This record gives sequence, structure tokens and C-alpha cells, in this order.
Amino acid sequence: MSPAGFQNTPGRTRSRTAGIVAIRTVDLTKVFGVHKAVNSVGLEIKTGEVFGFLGPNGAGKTTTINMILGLARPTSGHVEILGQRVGWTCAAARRHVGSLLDGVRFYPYLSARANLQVFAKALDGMPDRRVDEVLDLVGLLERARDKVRGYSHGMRRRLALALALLSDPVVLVLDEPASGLDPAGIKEMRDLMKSLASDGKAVFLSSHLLHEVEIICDKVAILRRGVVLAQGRVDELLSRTPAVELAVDRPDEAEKVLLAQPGVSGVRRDGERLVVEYLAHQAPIQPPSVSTEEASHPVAARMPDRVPVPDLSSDATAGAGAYRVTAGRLNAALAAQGIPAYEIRPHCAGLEDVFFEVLQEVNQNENSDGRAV
Amino acid sequence: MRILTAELFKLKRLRITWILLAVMAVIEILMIAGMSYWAMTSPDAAKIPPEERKKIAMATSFPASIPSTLSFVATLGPLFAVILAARLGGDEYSWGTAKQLVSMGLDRCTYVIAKLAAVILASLVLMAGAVVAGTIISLVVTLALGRPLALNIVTASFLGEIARGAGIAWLSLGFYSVLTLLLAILTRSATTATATGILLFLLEGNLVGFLASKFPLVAKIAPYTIGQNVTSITSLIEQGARAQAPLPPEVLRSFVVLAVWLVVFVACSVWVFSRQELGVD
Repeated sequence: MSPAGFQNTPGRTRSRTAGIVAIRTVDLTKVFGVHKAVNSVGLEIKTGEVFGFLGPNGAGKTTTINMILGLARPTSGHVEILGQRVGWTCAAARRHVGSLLDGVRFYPYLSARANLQVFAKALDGMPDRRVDEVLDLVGLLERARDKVRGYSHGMRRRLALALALLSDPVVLVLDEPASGLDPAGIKEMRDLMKSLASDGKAVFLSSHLLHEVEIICDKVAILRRGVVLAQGRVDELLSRTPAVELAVDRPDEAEKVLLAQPGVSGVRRDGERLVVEYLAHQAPIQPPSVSTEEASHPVAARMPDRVPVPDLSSDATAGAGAYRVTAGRLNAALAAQGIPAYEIRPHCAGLEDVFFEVLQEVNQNENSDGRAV
Repeated sequence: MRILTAELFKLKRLRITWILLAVMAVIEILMIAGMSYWAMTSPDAAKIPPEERKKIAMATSFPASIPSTLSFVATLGPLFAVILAARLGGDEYSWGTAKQLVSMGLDRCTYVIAKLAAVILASLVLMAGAVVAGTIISLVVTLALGRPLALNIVTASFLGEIARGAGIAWLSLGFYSVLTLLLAILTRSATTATATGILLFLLEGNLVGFLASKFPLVAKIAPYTIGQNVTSITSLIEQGARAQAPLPPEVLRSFVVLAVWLVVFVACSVWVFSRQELGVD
């Protein structure tokens, strides 16, 4: 492994391609028999960004990737690459795409270098210098003469990445790139993704490693049963359901009190704490009437007498304002019942929380629809 | 075509290429050496009629052995060609390299054409290897047994006979190679393609012949099947100089029928691969 990790070569593409729509899928649909594997998926990935494609097993991620790469024929809808609408077997446009696919074992009887040379020859030839460059980039140069049949899964993954980068493509489509990599390899992969994006390449990756996706990706889409459930910037998704985290002495009673508050959309336990989800863009939660006695409570006394009107001129300010207002009101309500919170803080949702929350919401909706029927 | 260079690069590095080549050469060597020993020096040699011994001596002596070698290649060589073509085509599916190449923008039609060219060239390599091995061993046997080198038979007619025999042998091997590549594309498996290809090679001609003797309908279509026509053209090698006369219509028809089949196999290979979904292994 290269001591410095995966080191991207200086980008040649940034100046001319940053911000261009690299991949667009329009109503992409794939039906196998009666099973709709992918249902009207619309994605847009621009150069200069890393786009994460998430979903549970069988969600349709690989099928979508296969359609983008021309390996599967869409039942309906189409794919555009760098602004050009491409037929499913159209090869020319896909020359700009580097891909890392699942299940590629390479030619086992050839060395890593010879494998890349075969692909280089097949794809209009690239100098041997480029082959060595990408092998060095993924830390395989020292093992370049070894037969691939002796490679570990992680080494094959590195070789697959080298192959994806071989033609210095503008667009990279990576299916589970970190699968089989050790922690150091995952970090190197993460750094490389960022570096490639900063060089102006579009990186589209599917992954189960939600934490990695959260760190690497600028945008994500969550897919389930072939349908995109949520899509957007990672920071937007993370703030889609704001929440306050409260530590109280009597959580059962506190939960009832909190659920009764207007604007509260849900209360759940997170260990010893209560996580209260609230509607950020609703009118601020109305202050409860606080008696003199209650107001003299040490915690309640720290509550502001007047609620500042949140500044909604920007999302960030609005979010911070809504949090301050809500946190104050919730604690006042709890204090009024004699169970003041001894710790209050904003709940920092991770992508994992958002992922499961989105899936849960859909499941609940489906269940309620089922009952209605 | 660069893709053909890549295919030949893989073919050269593939161990099975050299194993098959070696096995063909060894069989050829054993046949010539064995026949020479049996007919000339073994205890049974005296029991062989002199006319028969003369024929065997001729067939195993350089340079008259070359047509016999070609006849062997045309008759048994397709088995080896089937194995090699199945590996060249089918393994690309199991290794995931076919989908990787296509995903990176390699034109599907170009890919199949390059594969077809590679398996046809591979069959030429197999044929050449066996012929060279057979020729060398026959030269060694001729010199070892103290026979004269009958170089006087190397006339334009003899060279023409060798060229025609080589063409027929290559056609026989190439034909089954192309058929097996189509099977590999259809089945996405080297193993299945090998098994099916070998079964077709071994059984199809005999099965059609048997059914033709029982059912008049099969008898009508039998002249348009593969095995019987391959046998028809490869018999030309054995006929040697006797086949110099204008070819009879049924042999010409065999060439035409096989050419039509070859075009069908090539077209089907291109058509199937151009529409094949490669995402699912």
C-alpha cells in the first residue's frame, strides 16, 4: 500500500467540467417480469460533487447503476451522460465513464499490470505509463507483477478502482467501492473520492457504509424498492427533522408532557435521553402559562421571559432560532410539571438516523394505507 | 483493431492455449511414432500385408506425412478448438470482464467481432502447432529408420494439396470455434459451452444420420445439417491427389451449407451480445 494512501494525480478536468450535469436519469424504470425493480428514478449528478446512492439490499441500486452503464436495458426512461441522451447500448458516451462494478474478478491468470494493459489496449490504447500511474495511485505498484488469482478481495477492489481511473474519466460510477477494504483503505478511498471531486470529476457511488457516505458525499439519494424516497444535499437531509435531546429524571412522565406540546411531531427514547422531534417551520410552540411558583424553579428561571422571533431569512438562522425557542418552551413545559431537564442539547442526526427514519416513515405510510384498504 | 490485439494478448497468456496445443502435438507425435513402430519394428509387423506396410510407411514419412497430419487435425482438432473457444468466450462472463469492458464504453459489436477473430486465429494456431509437431516427428522417424527423404514428391500439385488440406482443416476447426463462441454467449458459461460444443461435434452428425434412416423428413434436411457436411469436406484431405478433379456438386454444396451456417453463427453472436443484459451474473 502506498504510504501516502490513494493520491490522485492533478486533475485535468476541473476547469472545463466543474458544475456540469454528468449523469441524469429521467424516469428510469426497470421491470423484471411483474417485479418493478426500479421505478421512475430521477437523479442528477454534477461534476465536482460526490453523490451517494443508498438503499437496503434489493432496493434497486445495482440495477440503476447497470442501466446507467449500459449493462441493462431500461424498460422506460433514459440516461443522459454529460448532457447527451444515450441509448442503452451506446458505447461512445460511456468512454467518459469509469466504473467499479461488483463481482468483477479480472483475468486471474494475468498480473495486475497485464490486466490493466488488456483494458488499455481494448479501450483504444493508453500508454503503459498510465497503467503504472493508476497502480501507484491505489497502492498496488509493488504487487503489479503478481497474478490476480493470488489477490485478496481488498486488493482486487483496489485494482478495480485503478481500472475505473485508467482512462482519466470525467464521471466515476462506483458500486460499493469500500467493500472489502481495511480501515486504512476506506480512509484512503474516502480521501481519493474527495480529491477526485475537487478535481472536477463527478463521483457516483453506492454504499452501505452510511457513515462514510455522510463524510464523503455532497448529495445523497435514498432508494427503497426501486423508488427514490429522499434526495438532496447531505446537510439538508440531516436537518430535515430537527430535534432536541433532553435528559430528565422521570422520562415516562416527561414523554407524555412533551407529546402534548403543540409542534412536537414525535418523542423517542435514545438510551437515557428523550429525543423530541419538532416541526421547524411551524409557528413557535406556544409558551405555557407559568405560575409564579413554577417560574421560581431554578431551571425555569433561566428561561427567557420573551421568546425572540426567529429570523427566517436563512435556513441556518431559522434552524438555530427554532431550536432556541423550542428548547426553551419544552423545558418550561417540563418544569411546569416538576420534571425539568437537567441537560438540553440539539440532537445531531446522522445519515444513519435519516436513512432509517425515511424507511420507517414509508413503512408506516404503507401500513396505514394497507389498513385503510 | 486494438481490441483484437487485446484478445490475442489474453490468448497468448492463457495456459489452456498451450496445454491444448501441447496435447494435440503429443497425440500427433504418438500417432506417427506409434504407427511407424507398429508397422516397421514391432513383433506384429510381419503380420501386416506388405501393401499396407508400404502405405503406413508413406503416411509416416516426411514429407508425405503432412496430408495425414492435416487429416487428423481436421477430424479430431475441433474438440480442442471447442474447449479453447468456450474458455475465451465463457470465462469473460464468470470473471465479470465482459460487463466491465462494456461499461467502459467498448462497442459490443466490435467486442464480438474481435472475439470471433480471436477464436478463428486460435484454431489456426492449434492447427499449425499440430502440423508442425507431426512434420518434425515424421522427419525424425524417417531419418531414424534410415528411410530416404522423398523430396521428389514435393511438386506444385503436392503443395496445392497441402494448402487445400490446411484450408479445410482450418475451416473445420474455425467452424466449431465460432459455433462454440455463440454457445458461450448464449449460455454465459464456459463449462456449458464446452459440454454442448463437444456433444454437438461428437453426436450431431451420427444422430442426424440415424434419424435420417428412420424418418424421411429428417432425411430431407440432413444435407443441410452440420456434421455430415463437415465430414464431406474433411474427406477431401484423405482423398488427396484423387480429389484434384473438379469437386462433385455434393461437396460444393457442403461448402456452401457450412458457409451459410457460419454466417448465421456470426450474425447470431453479434445480435445476441448486442442485446444481452450483462448486469446479472
